Amino acid sequence: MRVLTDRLFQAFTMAVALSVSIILAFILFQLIKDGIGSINLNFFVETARPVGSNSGGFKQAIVGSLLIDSIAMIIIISFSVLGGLFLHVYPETLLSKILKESMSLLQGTPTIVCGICVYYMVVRSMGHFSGFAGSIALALVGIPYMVLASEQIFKMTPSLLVEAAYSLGLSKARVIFYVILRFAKFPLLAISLLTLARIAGETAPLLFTAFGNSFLELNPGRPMAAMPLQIFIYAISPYDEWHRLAWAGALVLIIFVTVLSIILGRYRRLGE
Amino acid sequence: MFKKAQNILSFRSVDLANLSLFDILLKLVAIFLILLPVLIFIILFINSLPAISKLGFSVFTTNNWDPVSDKFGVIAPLLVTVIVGVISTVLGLMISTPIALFLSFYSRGKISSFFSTVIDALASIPSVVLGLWAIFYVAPHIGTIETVIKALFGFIPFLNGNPSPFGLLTTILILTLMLVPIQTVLIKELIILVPRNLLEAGFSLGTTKYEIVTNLILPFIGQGIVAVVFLSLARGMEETMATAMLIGNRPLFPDSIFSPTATLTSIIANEFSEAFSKTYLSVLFELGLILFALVFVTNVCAKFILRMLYRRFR
Repeated sequence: MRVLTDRLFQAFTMAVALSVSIILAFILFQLIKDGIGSINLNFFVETARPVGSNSGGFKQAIVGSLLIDSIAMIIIISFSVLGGLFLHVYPETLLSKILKESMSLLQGTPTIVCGICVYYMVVRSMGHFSGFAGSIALALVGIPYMVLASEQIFKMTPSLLVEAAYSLGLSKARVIFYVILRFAKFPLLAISLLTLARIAGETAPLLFTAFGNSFLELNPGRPMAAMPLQIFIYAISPYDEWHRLAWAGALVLIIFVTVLSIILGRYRRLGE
Repeated sequence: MFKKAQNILSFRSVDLANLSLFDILLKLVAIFLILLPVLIFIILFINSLPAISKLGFSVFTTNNWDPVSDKFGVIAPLLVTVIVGVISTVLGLMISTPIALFLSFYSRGKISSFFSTVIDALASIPSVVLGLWAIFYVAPHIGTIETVIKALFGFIPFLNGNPSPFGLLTTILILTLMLVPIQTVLIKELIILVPRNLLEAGFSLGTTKYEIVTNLILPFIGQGIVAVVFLSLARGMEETMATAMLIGNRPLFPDSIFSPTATLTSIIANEFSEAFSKTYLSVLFELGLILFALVFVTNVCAKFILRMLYRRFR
């Protein structure tokens, strides 16, 4: 009887796990089914068009996403590595304790709130929406994860190496540059890519910053389209052609994000 | 090797060798990063001042959203936000607890890593994509489900409304799906906290895994579950895109669990770019401030409980 109960419970937990997997499989299947048909040359070389015979493509959103995300990543990496270094070099000081707390507070900040704050700071002062403002909003979302994760990575530096470097009489700054940073090169790259995967799908911060654009725009000072934003705009539109494009965009986005996060699964738990 | 060390030692740089400069840079960056959340709070507060001074406490007493005549009722979206968060969290726990137990006790090797990958993949789906999927593949069937619920449980007041594809129930279902991965991961972490020797003692007495789970694990992680509830509540309340796509955007208090309504996030997402008056925009900032405060409080509660737990078991 007891063994039977155990077996039943095992079957129950397995069934729940399986059903969630089935839902995921269903989502992916639908994405591929509806998206694959619209992924053709047009999707990559055409910009958005009004509904008609040729409903255009996603070029402006793909290019916009690339630009916005790369500017955001430059901001995130430069600040986060320095912040992480600070936490590593001055552990247990008051300032680093406050920094950790404020980072987890920023982590918990709703992304839409980051968006409206950047709207007030950047968009209002520039006078119009811009891709650059979108990058700043995304940076606000990505920085806390990367600061906490990079601190974890710096902690992994073997203390033997660091002590050996100090024993050679190197200054603190040189130890950081020649030992700690060199040792952390690949893990830092990994968490940068994970952060990129995290911000690539973020839509809320872009709503009132990058705002979207139907035309190809290469100047970050102007309103810009982005993949998740374009998906959102097309998804709530009433036209079937645009829905098909939204599916295709979602498929491309999800392939990018999921592949990145599954490859780098080892580093995923850092910075949470 | 020796040569390399010599190179490093003889390398002369003007500013990097000067430690104090680098230190100052690190400290400046740290202070800047500390100021970011403070800055966000200040911006929200400054921008919501006009609304606070003009409307005062009346926003919490009106159930009406009429920007043209300056009538803004915050209480309905606020309550709906909390309701959606709570229900999704509870439903999510019913799914994620068995999965976490399955991953920790009932699976090994390939099976375990497969399901972990599934959970990771589910966590990495952007909320826009999930919202898109829900619009076309969940919303059309919601009406049927709601009709069945109404037929079975119609006598319960809140389960008796007109079925609609977009509304509370749709949002709750999708949010549940979104919260499952994070909850699973957190509960797995809690299970790891349970002392190994207790488990081994239990197994040595010849108990089955089911008895271990019910008598040891669940009581042990009970407090931790409260923290998980708070964390996923915060996640559920700050979720924007999927909510904005599925909730139906009718900023009034819902008549039933089926009816379209609005949350704090969905109102901001849908109306921010259309705010035509100063008061209107200011009210939206006030919504942001309320949301910020809500999420902050839930996160702090969660953190407090987790700290206590770690102090006890580490």
